[in-house]
Amino acid sequence: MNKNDGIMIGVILILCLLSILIFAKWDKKGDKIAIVYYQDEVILTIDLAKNEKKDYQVMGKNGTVIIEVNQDKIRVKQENSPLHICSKQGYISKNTESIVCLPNQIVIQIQTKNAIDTVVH
Amino acid sequence: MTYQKITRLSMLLTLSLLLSILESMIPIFNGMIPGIKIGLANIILVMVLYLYGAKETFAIALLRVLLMGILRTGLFNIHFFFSLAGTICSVGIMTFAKKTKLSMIGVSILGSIFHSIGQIIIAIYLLHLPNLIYYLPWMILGSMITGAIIGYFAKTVLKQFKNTL
Repeated sequence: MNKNDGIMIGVILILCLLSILIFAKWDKKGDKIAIVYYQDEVILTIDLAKNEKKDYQVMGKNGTVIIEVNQDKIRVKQENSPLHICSKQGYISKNTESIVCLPNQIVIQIQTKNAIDTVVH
Repeated sequence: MTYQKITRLSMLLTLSLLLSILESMIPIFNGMIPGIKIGLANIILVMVLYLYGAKETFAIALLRVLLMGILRTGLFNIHFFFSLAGTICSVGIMTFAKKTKLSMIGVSILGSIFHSIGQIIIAIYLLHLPNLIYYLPWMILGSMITGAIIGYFAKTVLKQFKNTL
């Protein structure tokens, strides 16, 4: 460890923290929907603006994946994989967040409703 | 290439495979924080880079990915391309960083960071998920810690290694 390492670490730390702050601002306000993909195909769209508490079941590659919606947050509750990375990740609610479950080939993405309207138009 | 060099490189390759397998068996190293693992096998890559050079490091790195694919994760699936992309980026930047005034720990940190960058790029490409870029700063923060630990290990082991061999 020398002085140059220190400078490099400092610069990268500042860049990281700055981009984390900037990305946090990019979470668009408004009603959100969660889109669930299996192998690139949309299999489920969940309206997060309804503020409901409900479990959804979808089929992943390793079996059933249970997705829990709690108010405006969504998480993978139960799934069959070696490391359980996506169920450990917990709730997501921002449109900058996503859950990727590689072994099950399931992806959950959050989008703002307005953003989808613009895409459609 | 001398017999001695071939023997040592194959021993190091085997060690890196062993470390990979060992790591996947120890839960603390693997998946405690989603998306971040320590990458013990990179100790060997850093060591080979300082013992021999870029060419040998690339050879060991690519062979390790290939052999890990055959032994554990399977060839040419998504996991294979993830580790391939990470490894190529990581060794590439470490070769470059070694020529600068950075110490071994600095080189290892950069290698670790570019491992994450390579994986995020290939994940965005393969999963069509541009949103993953938002996780990059967090992964880089994690990489800096694991990279520093790996660099420290490599430095310590290399010192002993040079004394014994």
